Amino acid sequence: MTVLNPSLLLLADGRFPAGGHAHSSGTEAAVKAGHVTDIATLRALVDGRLATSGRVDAAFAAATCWRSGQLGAVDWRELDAEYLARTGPPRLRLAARTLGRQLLRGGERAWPSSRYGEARAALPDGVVQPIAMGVVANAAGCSPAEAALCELHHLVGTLTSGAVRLLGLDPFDVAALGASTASELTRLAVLAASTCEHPAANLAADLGLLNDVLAEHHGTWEVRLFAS
Amino acid sequence: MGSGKTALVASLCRLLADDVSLVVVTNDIFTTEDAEALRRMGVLADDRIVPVETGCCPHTAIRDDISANLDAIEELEARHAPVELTLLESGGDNLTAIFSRALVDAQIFVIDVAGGDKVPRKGGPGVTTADLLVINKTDLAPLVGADLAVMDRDARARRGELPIEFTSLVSLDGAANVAAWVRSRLTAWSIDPSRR
Amino acid sequence: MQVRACSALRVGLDSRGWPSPTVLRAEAPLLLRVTDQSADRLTVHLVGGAAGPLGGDHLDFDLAVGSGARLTVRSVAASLAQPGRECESVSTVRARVAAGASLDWWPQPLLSIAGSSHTIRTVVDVDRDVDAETDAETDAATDAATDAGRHQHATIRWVDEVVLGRSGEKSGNLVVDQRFTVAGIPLVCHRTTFDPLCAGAGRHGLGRSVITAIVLGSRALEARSVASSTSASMSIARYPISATATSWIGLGDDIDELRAKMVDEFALGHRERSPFAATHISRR
Repeated sequence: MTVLNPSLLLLADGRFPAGGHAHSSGTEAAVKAGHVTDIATLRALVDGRLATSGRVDAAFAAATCWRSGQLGAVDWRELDAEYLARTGPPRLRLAARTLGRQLLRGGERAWPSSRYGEARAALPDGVVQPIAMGVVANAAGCSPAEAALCELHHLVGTLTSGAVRLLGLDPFDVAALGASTASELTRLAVLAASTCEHPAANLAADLGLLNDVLAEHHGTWEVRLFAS
Repeated sequence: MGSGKTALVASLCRLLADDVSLVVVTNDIFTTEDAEALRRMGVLADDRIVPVETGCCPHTAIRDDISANLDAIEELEARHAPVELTLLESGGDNLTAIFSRALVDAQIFVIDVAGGDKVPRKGGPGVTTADLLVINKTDLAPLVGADLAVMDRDARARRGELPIEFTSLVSLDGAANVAAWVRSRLTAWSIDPSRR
Repeated sequence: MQVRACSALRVGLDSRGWPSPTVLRAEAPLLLRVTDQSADRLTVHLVGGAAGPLGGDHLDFDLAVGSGARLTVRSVAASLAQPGRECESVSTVRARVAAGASLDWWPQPLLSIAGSSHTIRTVVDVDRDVDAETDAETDAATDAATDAGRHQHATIRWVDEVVLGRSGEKSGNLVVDQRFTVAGIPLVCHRTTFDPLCAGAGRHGLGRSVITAIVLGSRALEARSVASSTSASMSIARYPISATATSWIGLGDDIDELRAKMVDEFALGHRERSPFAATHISRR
């Protein structure tokens, strides 16, 4: 009988101390701009983000996880440069590096590996969150597909819990929305894993234009509840 | 909420900043409110005060997942090395607020007289276990009909040997007793770091 | 009928030192016309020779701007992505911009028509900056006066406009792929998918008009600060993406209002005037 890797559950748990609770990943900005008001519009946000930034993050988490599991050096700078080329807004880069640093801190205590130090040394400006996820997932014994799945799971969780806190939506409706993404999460995780050996330049590059605009706008607010 | 945490932090900055290298991290419900208030008061250089967003979960940020606060503190410590004292202001409206020992060496819990003299009796981890309990706004006691002796007695019953200070931050040196307590902690830690 | 067309334009400096086409090959429906030539700049218009791109069409445009040459590319009218018997049409623009060259790309909008399925691929490679110090050794005095002249970097303004569907109609399916590299290092790599069934919060919102711009070089240095605004009908942001590049995204209902706001309030510069001219004149 095969049992799921318990480390994957720990890494996927929102209670794992990696600083995610302070972020809404764009929900706060979308709510304030009036784009998300109820379950239907939250679903549009979740679907759109899975198809855009979710795909990119999953691809980079899977690619880093696979590379970390191989013998020899990882192309950290190439991965980082390609990720930044897909992530223009300074606010999104800042959030990605903040969350990456925090994930590495928690992950390294839980699952030590030499890859943490290598990543930090190669990327002195910071390790973005999907690359950090790949490092941690590999150290935790997860597969590239599991690293991607974890990334997607956190995106859905961050978006939906942000909406619960900001809009007071029925938490059971929101949980059901999360559950309904299961087959799409599986599809995207498998897709990300299928490209994990590709050169970084060829990884997914899907863009959500409105998210990029709102991310920068969010950064200019005087009053925010979430860091992103 | 409104017990005078920001006023206490401002007062401590005024009383300590001349001879202690200190920085402040604020965990506001709304991003930069407290940090901006402190900056406006001019008690410390602006770049020694950093706000951290807590995503509607101020207690999570000081207890369950301290990553964002650790991050901010490490950055401040690197920028202003050596830092002798970091004040981390958090809370608002909750008697169960407690800081992780991985984040802070000592916790000061602030309640105020205007909240009624029953608060110490209700207890909760903040009142019971904080390293220092500050009962603020003593000047308001006669106005709200609060009995300071009752608060003192109830707090001592809850806290045993742990210290309690009464403050009125209306005057500029109203927190001199709290500042003295902070200095005594700094001295104790510098003699024996393991007592942190 | 399915069309495969491959047009090419290379611009260098002629014997007078004027920018001029060294290669100009145009196949219908992607025709090119030189509309202005001066010592400072060559202007070329894209002319829709047929009503393409139709489904099934493959249109390639190869563009190269050599060192010292300044090229402006415009178009005479909006292009229409229309349905055809074969579902997919693809247009590819490849541009190679040398150090010390300047390219200002800002055609009329692409209109995605209901039922069409079109992909636009843009690949822009910018050469490594050339430090002109060694060339200028003999002329140290002039060089010291114009610090900008010492360092030869490419200046680019690349603006794409998209209108999703004719008024009151849905759009077609449109994929916009963009990849910019500078000295081989990726600057921008994006795929934007416009699907009439999937719009809204997580993608590009519900407006019909999209303007994106990448500006590289001196003008990007003038517009480095972050700026943004959102309202019910328009969302715009501008932000730096590297030490020498700035990005704009504009989303809205009306393309002309959106463009006007990006030009007037977000310092995108006017389409009618090349943004680089003033810099070049002052450099002489």
